[in-house]
Amino acid sequence: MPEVRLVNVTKRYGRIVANDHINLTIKDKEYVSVIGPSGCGKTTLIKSIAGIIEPDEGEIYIDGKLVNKVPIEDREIGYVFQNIALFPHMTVWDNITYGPKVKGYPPEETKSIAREMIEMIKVSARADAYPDELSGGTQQKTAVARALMSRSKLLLLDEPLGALDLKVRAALRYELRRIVKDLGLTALHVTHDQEEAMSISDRVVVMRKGRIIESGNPLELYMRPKNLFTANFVGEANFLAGKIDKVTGEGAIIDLRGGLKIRSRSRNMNVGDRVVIAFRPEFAFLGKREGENVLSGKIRNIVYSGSLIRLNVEMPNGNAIVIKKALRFGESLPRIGENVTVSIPPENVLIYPYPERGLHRELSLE
Amino acid sequence: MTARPKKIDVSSKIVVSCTLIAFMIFVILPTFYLISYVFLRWDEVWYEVFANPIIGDENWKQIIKVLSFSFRLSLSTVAFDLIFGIPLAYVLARKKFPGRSLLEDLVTLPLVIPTSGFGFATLITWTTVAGLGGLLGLSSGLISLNTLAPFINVPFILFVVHVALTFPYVVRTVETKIQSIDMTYEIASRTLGASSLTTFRNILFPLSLPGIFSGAVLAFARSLGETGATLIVSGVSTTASIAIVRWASEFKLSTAAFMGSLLVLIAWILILPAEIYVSRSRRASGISLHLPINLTKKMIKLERFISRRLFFIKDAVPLIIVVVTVVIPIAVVLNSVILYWSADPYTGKVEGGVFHQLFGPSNYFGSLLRATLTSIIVASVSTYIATCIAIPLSFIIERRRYGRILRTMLKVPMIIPTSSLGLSVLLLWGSSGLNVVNSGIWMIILTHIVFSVPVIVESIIAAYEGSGIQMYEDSARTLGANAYNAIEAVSLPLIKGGIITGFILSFTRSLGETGATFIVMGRDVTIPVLVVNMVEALAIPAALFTSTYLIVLSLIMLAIIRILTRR
Amino acid sequence: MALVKLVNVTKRFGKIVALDGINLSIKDGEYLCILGPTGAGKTTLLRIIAGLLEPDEGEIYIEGKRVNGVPPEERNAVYMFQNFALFPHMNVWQNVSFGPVIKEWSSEKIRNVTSEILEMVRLGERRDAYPNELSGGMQQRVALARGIAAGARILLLDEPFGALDARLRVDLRTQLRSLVKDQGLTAIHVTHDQEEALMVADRIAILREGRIEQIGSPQEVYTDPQSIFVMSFVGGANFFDGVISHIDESGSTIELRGGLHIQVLDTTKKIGERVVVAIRREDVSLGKSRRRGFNNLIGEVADAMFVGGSMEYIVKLENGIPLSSRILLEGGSRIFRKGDIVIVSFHPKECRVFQYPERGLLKEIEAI
Repeated sequence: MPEVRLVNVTKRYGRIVANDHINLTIKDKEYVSVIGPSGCGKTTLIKSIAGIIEPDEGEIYIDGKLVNKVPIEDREIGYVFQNIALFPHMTVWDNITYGPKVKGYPPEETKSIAREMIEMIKVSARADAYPDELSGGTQQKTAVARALMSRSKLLLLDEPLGALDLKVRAALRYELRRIVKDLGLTALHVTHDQEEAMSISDRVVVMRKGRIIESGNPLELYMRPKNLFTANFVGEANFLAGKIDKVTGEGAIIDLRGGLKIRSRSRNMNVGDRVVIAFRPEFAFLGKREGENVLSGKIRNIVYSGSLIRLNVEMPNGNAIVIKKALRFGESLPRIGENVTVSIPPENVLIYPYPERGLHRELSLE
Repeated sequence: MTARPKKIDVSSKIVVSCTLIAFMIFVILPTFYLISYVFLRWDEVWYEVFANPIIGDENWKQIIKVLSFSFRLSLSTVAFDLIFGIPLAYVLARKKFPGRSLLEDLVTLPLVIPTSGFGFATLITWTTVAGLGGLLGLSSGLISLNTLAPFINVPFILFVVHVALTFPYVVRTVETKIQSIDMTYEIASRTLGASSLTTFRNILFPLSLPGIFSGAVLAFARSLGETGATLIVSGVSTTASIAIVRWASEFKLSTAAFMGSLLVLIAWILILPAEIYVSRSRRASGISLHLPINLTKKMIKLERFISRRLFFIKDAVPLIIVVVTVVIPIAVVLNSVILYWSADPYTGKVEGGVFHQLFGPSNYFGSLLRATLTSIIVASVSTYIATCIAIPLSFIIERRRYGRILRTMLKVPMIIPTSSLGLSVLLLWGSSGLNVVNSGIWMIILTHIVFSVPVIVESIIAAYEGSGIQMYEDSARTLGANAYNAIEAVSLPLIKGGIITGFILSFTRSLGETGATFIVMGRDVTIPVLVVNMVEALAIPAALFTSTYLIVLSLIMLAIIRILTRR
Repeated sequence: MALVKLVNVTKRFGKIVALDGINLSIKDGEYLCILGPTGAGKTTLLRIIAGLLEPDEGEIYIEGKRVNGVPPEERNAVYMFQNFALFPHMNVWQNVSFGPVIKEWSSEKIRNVTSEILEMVRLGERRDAYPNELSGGMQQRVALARGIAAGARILLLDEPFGALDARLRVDLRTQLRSLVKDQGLTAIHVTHDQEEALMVADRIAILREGRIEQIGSPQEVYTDPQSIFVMSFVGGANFFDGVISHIDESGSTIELRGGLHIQVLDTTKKIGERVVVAIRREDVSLGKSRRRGFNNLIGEVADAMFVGGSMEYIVKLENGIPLSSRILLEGGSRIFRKGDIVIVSFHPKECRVFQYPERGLLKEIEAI
């Protein structure tokens, strides 16, 4: 039975539509992330589910029950905040046991559940410490423990790692997933960090300007994004404008600038359509490979980034692309100014209709 | 790159020193002079108060009696303020509703309203037929001057006036404190299953304790020191601050000075620990009473019920209080002016009408005009000088390490009894002291500067701390602006609002100030003092008009602030 | 000649030593990143260079001259805050022309310089807008323009992308570097994002608890980390606790818990010495067969995640220790699933050996 269901949920602030007829279903025990640029409405969405915000239109169902008019304290959810919000005047122990206490649960039971929880989440703080004595990561773990004490089955995470250092973020996100999966919870996780979302979710929902534009599992979203915006938001991509030249049984052939042609496996376009093709930089290879698109160009720049390098290649037709590859020990690399051959597998070339508003506007992340 | 130009270094030192010296001379010295007066003239004081050849230590007994009455009055006032003020502060801080800013203005009104005019308005509302009595069909006032309030044994009308005048201190202070608390804590509490009331008890209340404490102390001190309105409604009772006025006018200066010093010391003793507590307590004690589980369960259920069904009560009752204590008296006064304009509506006598009193033989209108002129000159000059001191002083407070001490010192002139203040100024600058100035307009100005500076400083500091100025200044400095350029081009524009608000607030307060002015005025009369005189001369309709006039002036000032800060 | 030089700079706040004997030399035109965790002292360092804070000990030289005690307005170093600090009561034009106006240039010169720079950051059309009307990225460009217009030679950037979305950061960081290089400015860029530092810096200085742990080009810092902390902070790695069990001319053998052995090329340690072996996740490959010349260990895939174009695996070895691997997905590579039994391989020359740290391994790698 679906844990959370949103039907036509709409919320307006003056003329801005923060949530525009959102329809979303989150299945029991699913870990779903909602990502999108600032202002896309993801925070409004999660707050509506919690009851912090009341939608103007639409219905929200939790575990089959309509909860629109149900106050926050009766919705039985766990909520984790971006700014952590541990009660500053209470110790770690008092924070964690707050939920059961205000619901009137028996204290003995509360004590043992709390101990279990601290153990399970590996909260490394002393029970009598105050929040301001703890590191950011420990604080947030304490907050998660606090949220889960009520044994609720739904966990809502509102940019839970936003206030933390990058290294802590990278480590804590896996912890979040482990906790959710070990306890068999349903989780909705809102974040602007697509890498964070992609690495721990069962499903990722992409929002933009109040609407859900795409949703799918991370691999799908990365390899076959249905949307130009998604392709840009969820990872790096090369975008080139062109026109459909031919459509054969194998796929379409696209005319890029200056007569350069590129093949794709997609077929649902018409000859003469204006399109944008996209391919991820790690799916462009140095050297000639059988059966793939082979282009030539000159190395304009090489950027090293740890064990990855990005090569900026300019082709004779003026288009510039980026190739991303892992540095293999002892491998020799071309130098700046050298001519190279680049191969791109047709199955990695995605085609999108040319956006009305222009490519730059469509790809804009703000 | 040259070494730092000596010029700028030196001139900034000059500005700082001048400001601090001016601060000391104009604000601090008068506040504390009273105490040193008592010490310097201890023999005189001892003689008059304790070992008086004629009446023994009668004066001392009087002092005790008056002080205990005042304490009873003030403590009950503060208790009442807290019970009804905290919920109102919560509503103002957290809820948005149409008319919210109007409500906030209503609450602020008593801070700037001329106390004598307000006292008068309250008087006729409750004790005469022109007020509530008439509304309810009685042939006289609802209560008399001396009706006692139940339980506390202080005159009801005195109690009402003190509540009205101190309510804003509690509400505003607690409101500001609550606003500074991140709302996420309350939301977190509710997601954990606590109802609004339980959340308030466990989260908001402990975290706002410093503000509650601070507000209570301010309200208490304000009530202790309240003079202007009390002069009008006290009837036969005497509060501490009125006693000072009375003794000063009877030339029992030593006794008055002694009482005044006591009040200053009490204010000091209250403020100091309060400030220390407020700044130290980063974590308010988690007031989680460990009650037996059954009781806790019942309480939680009760809180849930109240949160759900009865929450509107917490909004309604304080609102009623504000309306009754503030709005109705003003409405009554305005109404009565119209009613009484041409003649006394009950006796028909033209002599009892406002018009006659103003323009007839007593020519109160003339005195009103003169008083207006005096009031405006006093308000303008004192506020201007106070602003000149306040602006650099605010910067010093924000930037120097000893700024905290300065800020605490500034709290005292805000709450010591205005009569004490007046007396202090009289003794310091007048013929018994340095003999620089005589009683009259200049002494009034000197007095008004003392309480204006703190008001303007608090206003500027509020704007300063709200705007992240330090960061903008640092930015400007690294872009090539020296300290002066940075302040001029960046900081001042950003706190402009605070300066203007502070200016208008203190101008209005100065217009309406009664207690201190009474003592130092000599022959120059300001409008609020005129009201007192009229009441004493039983020229009630004239007092009516003058109070209305004064109240309307303050309302206009407040409206101006509203408009300016809206932008 | 060094444009900025710090000699033995120390700064204390009460009992906390924020900076401890910092020595740093920055060349003209260099893009230096100061990388470190929160609280390492990065912002303090930047503020001291700017003149907003004075050191307790040590000297600071800018353009060859000693600037201790010299006020910020005379140091030619512009400080850019994380939230840009655009003057809210001035519009874009007024913000950008602030520096020239303060310097009292002729109005014609002010106009020319301001227009030129606004065009350069592509904000010419928004010159009348106020900061609160602009997006985060635009505000940053205005802040940059403002610093450049003021004629600064040195840009001090305090977590310049901290206030922006993750995805936006990636785009803007290359733009920022290009702008700085085009203008011939020197940048000192403070961040806790190691990926950012690796991508934009000419040199990276790693700051930890007030001291510089290592300084070098991004490649140097990545391929030749001098300490466990640096290796963990920049790029991350698998760290194993072990003991040297055998040494000969070709290398050493290290015994891990549970009897597993790893071959490394390092020969500088002694038999019986407790050490830490580190191997980067990108250097660990998964397969079904052993690779000759490599270290090969058997394990079971405990978790398989798809992260940003790479597959990240957590493999539980026979001795219970988890090993993390991150492989860029390049068409055709095999994807393993949870529960698969695999052989993890890594070459001895990619293993780094460190002395076992006094404070214990966990402290050094700053796990949560």
